[in-house]
Amino acid sequence: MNEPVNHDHPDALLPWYANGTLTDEERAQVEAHLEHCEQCREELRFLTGLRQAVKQVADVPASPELGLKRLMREIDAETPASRPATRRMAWWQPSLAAAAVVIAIQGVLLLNLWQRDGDAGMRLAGEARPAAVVLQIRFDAAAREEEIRALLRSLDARFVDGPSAVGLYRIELSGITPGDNEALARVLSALREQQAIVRHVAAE
Amino acid sequence: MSEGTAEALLARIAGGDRKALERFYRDHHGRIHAFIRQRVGEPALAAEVLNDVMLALWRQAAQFQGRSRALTWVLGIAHYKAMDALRRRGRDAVLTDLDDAPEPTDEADVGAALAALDDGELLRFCLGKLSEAHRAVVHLTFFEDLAYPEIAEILDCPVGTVKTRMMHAKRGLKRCLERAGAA
Repeated sequence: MNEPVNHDHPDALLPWYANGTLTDEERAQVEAHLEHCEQCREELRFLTGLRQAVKQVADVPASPELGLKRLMREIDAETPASRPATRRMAWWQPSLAAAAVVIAIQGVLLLNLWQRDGDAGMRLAGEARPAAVVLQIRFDAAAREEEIRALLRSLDARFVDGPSAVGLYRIELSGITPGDNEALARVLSALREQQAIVRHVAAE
Repeated sequence: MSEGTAEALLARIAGGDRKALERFYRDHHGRIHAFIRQRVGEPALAAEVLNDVMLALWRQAAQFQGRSRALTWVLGIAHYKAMDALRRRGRDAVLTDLDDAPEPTDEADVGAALAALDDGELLRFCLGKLSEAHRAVVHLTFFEDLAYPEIAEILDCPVGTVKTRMMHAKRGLKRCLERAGAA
């Protein structure tokens, strides 16, 4: 290499030059550099070879049939309530209010673990279950039950209390270990992205 | 949007169309499985995670908002499912972030490493020596041929992290290939 040692190698971009996904501007920058840098040309030869080799050694299953059968069997075994809502819930034309009533009744009948003491006072009556990650959440008034249900299911979450007088619910995230702040931050971020459904969410 | 695109299939899956789910599975299971397999290693666990991803797809397809390509969205789900599976298995490796590790100083002989790429088993061995996070970037770059912003989206990390992980990964691979190839 005849270039000065400290010239600006576009090393960081070379892998994506090799796979052809750089922007026009980035590609031009890399190509201008490659013209006079043997070190980067050699690096590119390695990356091009690596790309070909990685494609050859990746584990791609030959047939989808086994996995597909299992998937369909599990979907068949699901309860109707856990399936996508659009076709099955058409008769219901769900609203948030209706969902809230159903969920509140289920909560009272099945668990009866919770007491209400005003908005801030929703407390577990007895610590019968292990500690869990609980969020307080308020949904958009226009959010549909099926949207809320799909969202909660995607997060492995369930209602444990609410609605409060100001429309807050408490949801428990069974997929997250208490103290796993990284996972909690991901869930909060995902919920906050759902602006058409979620008006407010915070961890307790 | 033509009928058979991943995006069109997702829209049909969101409406509860099982045939669309079957089609999506047949068309894309190989790529999704390959991504999962290189993350979790074990074939049986990879099959479990693939099933989990497809079930999540069936349940959550309505959440796809078209801000990214459909397959990017699905690989993002696969990323989290694979991480969850590794956590359940108690693999500390998934939490190990080597991005801040010191820069390796002993440069490998690139020519020797390039020659060693002909040995598929050796490459598998060396890929297996990478951290799980670094291996994911290599896979998405060279198997999936994805742009680095898309990889950042799938792995839910900054683009700078993708580049740093790639830099570490390729140095690690070169050193491993050179040494193992010469052995």
